[in-house]
Amino acid sequence: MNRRRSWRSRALELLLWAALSVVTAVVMVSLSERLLPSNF
Amino acid sequence: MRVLAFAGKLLISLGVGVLLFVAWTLWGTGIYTERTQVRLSEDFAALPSLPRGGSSTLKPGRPPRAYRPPPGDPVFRLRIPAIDLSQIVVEGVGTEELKGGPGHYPACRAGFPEPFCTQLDEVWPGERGRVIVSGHRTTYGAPFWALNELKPGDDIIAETKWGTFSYRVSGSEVVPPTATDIANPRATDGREIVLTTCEPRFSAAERLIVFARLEEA
Repeated sequence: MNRRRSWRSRALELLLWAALSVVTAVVMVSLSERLLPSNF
Repeated sequence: MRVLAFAGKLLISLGVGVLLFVAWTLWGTGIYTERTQVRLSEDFAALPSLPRGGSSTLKPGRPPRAYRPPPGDPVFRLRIPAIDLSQIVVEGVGTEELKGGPGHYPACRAGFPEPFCTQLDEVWPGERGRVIVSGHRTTYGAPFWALNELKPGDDIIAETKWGTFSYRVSGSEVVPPTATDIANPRATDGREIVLTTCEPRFSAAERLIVFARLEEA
């Protein structure tokens, strides 16, 4: 039987996934600046 | 089922992260450089003119001997009418400097660590030797995006604080990244400017080098 989750719990989960997206992008930007030549 | 749902959300989240990275790389960096160029342009316009240094045998000119701008400072305006380029060139070719615009290859001194500098004297527009300018091909406003479209005879103009120098494209080459001899300011007895960038677009596999010789001062 499915229990309905509160909107607060759903919003929190969405926020966490969004934070993971941002962290992924920041890590990739940082890696690209280290690995690519300065005039890429 | 729960594991599958979690894996799906994780992959979507990572995918969105990759899209954010691509958006920043292709467009966000360009916005940053555009703003920096506006500031650099104002700073360059406010700089006083410099007397041409050297004796008459060193014509058509060079900046005074003591001219040693710090990293990221505007040093001259580079104009290439054939590809509609007009950018302020900054001092230095390190990662941070090239975010602001094309960079002039400096002599090794405080603020310019190897390998982003030369142990020889740097060469400035108008001076005998090779002026070396490096720029982004794909990111940070991609000033050298269309560098491959230059043909022999096209003008490359350097507007400095000690004069305006017009170079004419003499040729181009695609070389491997290991061909560091290109970045030798004393590789020629003539007066030339060399523009370098990544080749092809969206790749760092090789380097595109455009050579131009001084025509008039």
